Amino acid sequence: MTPPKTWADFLATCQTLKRKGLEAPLALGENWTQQHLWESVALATLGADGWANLWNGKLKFTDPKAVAVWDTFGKVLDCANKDAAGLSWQQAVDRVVQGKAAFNIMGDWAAGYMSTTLKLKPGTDFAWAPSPGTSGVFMMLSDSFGLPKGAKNRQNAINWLKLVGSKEGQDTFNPLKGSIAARLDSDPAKYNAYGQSAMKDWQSNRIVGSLVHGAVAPESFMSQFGTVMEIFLQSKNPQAAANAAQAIANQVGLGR
Amino acid sequence: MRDRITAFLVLLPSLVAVGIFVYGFIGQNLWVSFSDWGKNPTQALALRPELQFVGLENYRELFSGFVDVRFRQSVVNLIFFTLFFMAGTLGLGLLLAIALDRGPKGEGFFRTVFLFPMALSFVVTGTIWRWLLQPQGGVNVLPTLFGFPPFNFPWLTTRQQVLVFDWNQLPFYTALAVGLTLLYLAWQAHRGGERKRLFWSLLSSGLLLLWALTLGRNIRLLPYAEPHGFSLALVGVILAAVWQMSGYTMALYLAGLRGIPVEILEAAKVDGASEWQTYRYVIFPLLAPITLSALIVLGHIALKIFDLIFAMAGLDYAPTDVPAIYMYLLAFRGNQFAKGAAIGILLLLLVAMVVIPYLASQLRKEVRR
Repeated sequence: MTPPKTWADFLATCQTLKRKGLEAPLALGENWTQQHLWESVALATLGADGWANLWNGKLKFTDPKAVAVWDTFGKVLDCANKDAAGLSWQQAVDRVVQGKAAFNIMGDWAAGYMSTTLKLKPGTDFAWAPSPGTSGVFMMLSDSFGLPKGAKNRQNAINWLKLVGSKEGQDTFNPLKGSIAARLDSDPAKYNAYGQSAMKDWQSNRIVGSLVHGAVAPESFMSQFGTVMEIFLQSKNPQAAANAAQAIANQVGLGR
Repeated sequence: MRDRITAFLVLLPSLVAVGIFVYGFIGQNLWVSFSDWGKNPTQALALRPELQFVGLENYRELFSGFVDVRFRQSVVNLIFFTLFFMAGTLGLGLLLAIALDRGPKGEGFFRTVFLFPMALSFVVTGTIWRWLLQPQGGVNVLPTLFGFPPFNFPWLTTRQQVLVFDWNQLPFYTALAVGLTLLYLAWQAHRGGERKRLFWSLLSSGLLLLWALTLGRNIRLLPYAEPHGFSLALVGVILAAVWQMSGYTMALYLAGLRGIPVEILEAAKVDGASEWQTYRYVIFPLLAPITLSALIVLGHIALKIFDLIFAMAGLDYAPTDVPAIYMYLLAFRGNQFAKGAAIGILLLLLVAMVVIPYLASQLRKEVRR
């Protein structure tokens, strides 16, 4: 099976798999993993520029193009397991590993979970591809440490930050978690096949931020996007979800 | 006189502490709920935010703003959760207490077993039941142990709702419920021969019902229909909560049953009362005060439920949402402090509706003594 290139491809593949008896080709978990799926659909539907415009306020959530994202998203949801709300992201990955699903749209940490925790070999035991329609675009998030103003042990805090930011620090932590370093000089030999492929993408792709992981919108918007998701899941009404998203965007002053 | 001064001085610290930390903060919360704290993102997290007075705007948005549809579902959820939780806990607790009261073998052992869940925190209960209620495992595969096909109920993951009604009909249903309650009170007053009470309750009930059936049907809170109902995902939550708290009501009822004087029961027997009649006309009426205390305790637990649902379904799951969860979500993740405070006030009012009549009746009793 070749990984689908677009969401239209994906939906066709999904129908084929369903006909062959796979009940839910896409494995999905609780609310935030659904938002993760949504942003992957949105990035593919709107393109990298449209995605950026959503966050600087140039593209409204109520724009027909943005409403269409919810349309596609609804169709994609039909390919997913119905008990999604009760599953953590690990349990969703497990469904793929156990052969109960063919796809899971997730971040790097899923590769870390499969290789570190489940001891699977990347490339032979599991494979990966860019989320449909997002080839050449790298959706990014980063976990970070901050240095608070007036920190008590400033020198030690700085030493710690220097250590975790260094090439050695990054190359020790990332291979275990399954993530890659923001630095461009890490040693590929320390990473598994998946990590190396992600590093290559990181250098060559266009980079955009993730919504659900807090890289494009303020916390006040992001935390209420879960509510927008619930409105859609309950009503299955693209326009209602789009209206709610725009109302929250206005309220938090998105893009201003 | 000196005694009085000592008493006053001893009470003073707790008076001050309660005054500031309970009533002071309730007052501040009320003020915040009338403000626009959180509307302006630059002010939301400011050290000294400048707050504008907006009156009841936050409350209006909660009940008829279209982003806060989740709040409305959470209120509906809370009402159903409270009703079923109290009925289930009282019923099961009473059954267990009656069973244990008949002195079966190993009574002490079973009493401990039934009471034990109460020693757990809701977070532990919630996590265990979350596992038990996974659609592919736990409770659903139980029948396969006895050779039956597994259950197919999706428990927490279902989005199905029953008893669905349009939110716009809320004023109508509320007036109907209050009107019927008043009508019941009027009937009670009629039986008790209290003419003044009969008159007033009959009048107010009549007016309310008249309003509900004429104007009340035409009030529209929202420009569109918004369905809300009892979401079946709550069944699992209710199950877990009843499992945890029924041991507590069992202990209360057991103490009550043991406290009934043997003479009364024997007198009933002498009068020729059957087993059922003894329960119906002797034991249950004597247990009524216990039921009332249990209702108060369970009622305020149910209205403030948060941790159980947090552990079972997480914050971002509307089908099991309750106002406390949505309040936390709005205030501490969305920085909508004013709206969060408004939900806090509404919850306070709800709990007050349960607790104050109880306290008032208790006080009246004490005065009478």
